[in-house]
Amino acid sequence: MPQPVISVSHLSKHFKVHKKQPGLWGSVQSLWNREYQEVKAVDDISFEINEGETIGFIGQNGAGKTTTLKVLSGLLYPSAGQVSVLGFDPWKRQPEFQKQFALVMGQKNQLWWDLPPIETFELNKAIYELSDKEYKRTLNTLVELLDVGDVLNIQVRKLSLGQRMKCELIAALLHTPKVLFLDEPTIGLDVLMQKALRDFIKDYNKKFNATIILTSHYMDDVKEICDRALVIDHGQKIFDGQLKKLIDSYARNKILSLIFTKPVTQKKLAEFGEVKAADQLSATLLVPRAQATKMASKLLSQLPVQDLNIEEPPIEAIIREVFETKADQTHD
Amino acid sequence: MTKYIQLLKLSWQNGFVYRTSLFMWRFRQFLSSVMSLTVWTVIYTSQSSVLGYDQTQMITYIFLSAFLQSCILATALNSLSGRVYSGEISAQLVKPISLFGYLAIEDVADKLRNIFFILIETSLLYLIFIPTIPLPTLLNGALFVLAVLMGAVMNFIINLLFGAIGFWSPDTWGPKFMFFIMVEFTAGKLFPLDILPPILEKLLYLTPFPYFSFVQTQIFLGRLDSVQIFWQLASLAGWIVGLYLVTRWIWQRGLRDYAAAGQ
Amino acid sequence: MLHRFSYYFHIWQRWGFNALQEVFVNRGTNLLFFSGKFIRLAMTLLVLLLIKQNIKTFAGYTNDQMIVFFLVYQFVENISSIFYRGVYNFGRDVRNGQFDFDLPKPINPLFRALMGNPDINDMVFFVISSGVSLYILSTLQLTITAASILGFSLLLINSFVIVTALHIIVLSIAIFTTDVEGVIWMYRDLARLGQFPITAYLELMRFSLFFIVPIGMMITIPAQLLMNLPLSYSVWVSVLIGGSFLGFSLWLWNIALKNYTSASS
Repeated sequence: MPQPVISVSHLSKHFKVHKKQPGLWGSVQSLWNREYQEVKAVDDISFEINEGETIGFIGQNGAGKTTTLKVLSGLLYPSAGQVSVLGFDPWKRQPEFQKQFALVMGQKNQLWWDLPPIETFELNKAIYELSDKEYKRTLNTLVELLDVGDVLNIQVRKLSLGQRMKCELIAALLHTPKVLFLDEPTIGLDVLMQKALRDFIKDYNKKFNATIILTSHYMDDVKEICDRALVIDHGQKIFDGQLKKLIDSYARNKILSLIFTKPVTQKKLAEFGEVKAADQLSATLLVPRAQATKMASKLLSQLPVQDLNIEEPPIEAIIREVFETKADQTHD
Repeated sequence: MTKYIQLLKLSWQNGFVYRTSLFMWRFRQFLSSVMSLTVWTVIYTSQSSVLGYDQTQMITYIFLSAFLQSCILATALNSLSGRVYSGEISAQLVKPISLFGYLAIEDVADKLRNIFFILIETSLLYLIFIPTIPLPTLLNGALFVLAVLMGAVMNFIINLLFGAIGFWSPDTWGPKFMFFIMVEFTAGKLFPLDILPPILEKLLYLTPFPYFSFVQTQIFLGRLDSVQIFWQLASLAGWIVGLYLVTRWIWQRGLRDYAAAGQ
Repeated sequence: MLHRFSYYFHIWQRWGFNALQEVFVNRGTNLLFFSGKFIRLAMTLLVLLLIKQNIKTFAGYTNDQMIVFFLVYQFVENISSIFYRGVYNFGRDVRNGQFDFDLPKPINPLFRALMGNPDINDMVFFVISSGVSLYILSTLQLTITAASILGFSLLLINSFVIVTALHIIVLSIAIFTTDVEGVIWMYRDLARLGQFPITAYLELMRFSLFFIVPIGMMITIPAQLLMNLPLSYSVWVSVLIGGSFLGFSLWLWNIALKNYTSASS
């Protein structure tokens, strides 16, 4: 039984935000009188993560994903609960701990804006006390994996977003962290660049047996990189397990896509399931999972079907389903 | 017209969101007034006239320049170039409202906020230092108000000019810093600019800086005769027209380049 | 201990090296900044000299002594802005999340926030303005002795302890109140009051500037010591204030970090 690298128990993080009174007088009043509201960004979350695992944090904006990552990195002081990463309390910010993990934030930028990326790398070499040998070896490996050898000496402000993000990753990984927190690493990148980064992250995980936690808006990131998903909503954990299991338990429907030899009316189609899209010679139907095979054979026998495919719904739809189910429950 | 009034209300409120920054800004202004008033009061304890100013005139000068700081120099447009560079200004361009009009409203709201505070501060300073402030003649008073309005218009135009740098470059701090330094010495509270050596004073009159508050204070203090006032107002008007033409031309070029760059 | 020192010195050198490169990249802006600072110093000195020529005493000090208070102010402020320029950007770094990158690194975040951005302009400026200051000092009629220079130099250490403490307090406030811009400018304006001997101000202000924001301990007292003038407060009071301020500022900084909310994402 492997020891968990990260363990979080009953973690909460609350923030105070101020509410502004509307109107002209309200704005003058807010000079001396302000009302505050408590926001529970993370509300009693527990989980454990083992060495080498890749976890995707899934949730809507403001669900508490990033806040959790920031507590794990020692940026934020938890309001309640215990957190341990690699056996350390992140908040204490011991250098021995900090030399073993890294935080990458997709929307932010740690590279010195007016200087070439290599200068930031050199700085991080000094901060992480890397030997010349280690530094050169890791840098070469990373540069090769990410294919950025030609941009190391160009001013950061002149790099494309993709190039910059790759250099950000290098800056964060020079000390070969065992634990890696990635917050929206592919945000704003084009599809090709997203894929390149995903492949790199997977490689890094395999090569260094690194533990990786990732948050992303792009489900493909999670689907391709992570073997385990953690769904967070309103600061609470609502699912923790394999992505496949998430799909099984929340995807109520399967998608049948059909191509016909002769036109079929929508009315006729509606007898078999929920019609999502249809024109005369093709259609997409939603049918309950359990009946998918039965419906398929029924369709084949009763309609002029030329081609039929049974597909899983896209993961975005499933996640939406998860949140909707959750919302219904809270309404009841 | 109603939309401009609505806008003014909104801008006024917006400024209060950053209440602590606003308080701090005003407190800093207050401190520098206290420093000037203290220094000059101390100086006048041992003699009655320094560098052509008697105590009453000097103290009035400091009160006036503190007040004019809020009326003329206070502006909401310090970050305009950044807004231009980031493309935020495009949001205004598509609305059925004049851009300069919109910015002017923001500026007026900012000035009103600052005047609101300077009145409180002035009363406080008045209670601490109990100065005698000689009032100007009715004519000079009217000319003073006119010169203040004109000064505010000129400052607005100059801020638009600085804002236009944002069409081409994100770096505007260098020129801005120079500008502030110059304002500090030509319109500042620490000393009136005519205590400087005459050659320096003459050179400064070739620039717009004396019109940011020095000339106004001199009208108020009655240190200029009517012919001098006429010429000062005429050159102030000249600066306004000249700077406006330059600014309009630069903004037109800027907006054209802007659209071309597709920001 | 020695290892830690050389580690931090090495990193500070890299920051300085990077800052120097940035100066070359943005040479236009930096040239303007540099000239601006120069104009400011020249104009201030000019006005002081004008006042010096036209007055005989200032709050019990001779006009020559008044100039020395200004020069000491200039010296302390110049050095602190060379080292602590990073403080000026700290509010922005907290707001845009830059500080999130510094916290997880194996380096003291306070060191990074204080010293992470040495000011190259001010270093060059320091060399020139020190030369000018020494020249002006040599033209003044003062009683400066070897012993008073030694005492002044030692008391300057206390001044830098106070400067450091005040900068740490500014950093902490930036964390507590993320929407506030330029707390540092507030400090600068308070320090500016030290251009003149603090004893000139009204009672309440004088007290505040010695004990609440101890600008007086930082500038006025060392200057008095240098000129062999009676001290407003003894050296020991001054050192005690310096030490307690440093302690207080570090305590405040730790509380601030606990309350750090990070930029929302």
